[in-house]
Amino acid sequence: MPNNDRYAYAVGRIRAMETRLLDRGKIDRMVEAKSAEEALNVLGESEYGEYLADLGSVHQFEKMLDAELRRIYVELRKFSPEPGLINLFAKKFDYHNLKVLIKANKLAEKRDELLVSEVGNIPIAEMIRAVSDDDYRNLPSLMRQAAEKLSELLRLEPDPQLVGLLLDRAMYEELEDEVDAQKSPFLKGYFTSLVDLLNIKTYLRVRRANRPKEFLLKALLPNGNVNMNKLVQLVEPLEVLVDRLMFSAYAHVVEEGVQTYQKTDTLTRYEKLADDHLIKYAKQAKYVTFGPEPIIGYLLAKENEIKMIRIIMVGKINQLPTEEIKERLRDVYV
Amino acid sequence: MSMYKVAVVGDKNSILGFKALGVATYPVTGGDEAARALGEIMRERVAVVCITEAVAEQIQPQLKELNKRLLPAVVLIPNNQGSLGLGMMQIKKNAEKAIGADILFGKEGS
Repeated sequence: MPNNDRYAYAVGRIRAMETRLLDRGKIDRMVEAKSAEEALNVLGESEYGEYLADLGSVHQFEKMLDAELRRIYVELRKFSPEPGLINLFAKKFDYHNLKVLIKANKLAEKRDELLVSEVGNIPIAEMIRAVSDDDYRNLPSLMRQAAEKLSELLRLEPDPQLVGLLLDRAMYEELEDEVDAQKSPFLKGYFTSLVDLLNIKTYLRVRRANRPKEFLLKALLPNGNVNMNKLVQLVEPLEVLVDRLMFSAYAHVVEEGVQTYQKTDTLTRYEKLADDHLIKYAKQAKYVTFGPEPIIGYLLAKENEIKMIRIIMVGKINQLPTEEIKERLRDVYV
Repeated sequence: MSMYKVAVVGDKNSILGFKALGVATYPVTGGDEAARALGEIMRERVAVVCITEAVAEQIQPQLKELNKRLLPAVVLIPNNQGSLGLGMMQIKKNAEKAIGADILFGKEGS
């Protein structure tokens, strides 16, 4: 058992912060609101309240979510005894920024508004310099290798799909290394589920797009537990997939998710169920007294909360029926 | 070689899909922004501009002005909440202007 006493202070802070997460009641009130403005006003008495005054209109709600995300990462970095833990979760923003910059560079456009600043580990300015000079030496090694290879491939064939394929693979490889370094079975379990659920989705999408097996092999991530390539062939009916995963932890996600997908031809339900599965897993962290789990749990809860507010606001702005918004909503952590 | 472009103006969620087709998208949230976007479009080499009906309703005077010019051609499209029928009305008017009769709905000389 590693010495987890050093988490005592951090967990204390987290427990206090957890009480300010949006509960089901507030989320429901947002969903039931008659307009986007009304939904936003529900947030007035929450942590988001301080941003509301600065928003010119409801259409700018993304600004509020960006600011909150930044605040959470800054805050957690301040007191997490293990900075690597937060850096690990921030890595997706580094990769996001790199993707945006490489694509914008290829299009000779400037799309800086799509960058996520001050959340990732690598300063934006450094990233911009790397891409515009085509010199990735200052980036972490796996990211650097992927970026260099990508730069070469894009010169031969400017296929935007390559950007996602190569960089996602590098990111999950980097993540796996860092997850292992944290020596937390809880974190490892989360990461494995995340990759597995992603791979199942990739399998469904590749199938839907009628792409060959070679493409599936390129798109699947090697870092999970379920080997989708061995598990089920692209030519086999989807029922085989459901059957083979019947006794796995993902049985309920796959069963209902795939059934709904066959009926509606969309992965919306699958995505919701997959997120719920991950949040349910994260909830175990609530019963841990000392350790990294509560920090991880809180971070995931907050990212889930931000995603839900986005779903509600986009739904309200586009006047989606309340029922349809509800179907898309995730479970809450609290 | 400079080709003429196609532009789309409308609320973000209605028009974002056009981006994947290589169309220049101008997401707007109200009449003022739409008028500004239209000004920008007129300075570019744009041949066709699609505008969602909901937005078009808010910038009628500017659209009237635009209809007098050769380019760009204005096409009204429904947004993600359905059609207001303005686009069809516009097509009817244009057909009448071009051939002098409403051949689309069969009411001659109306």
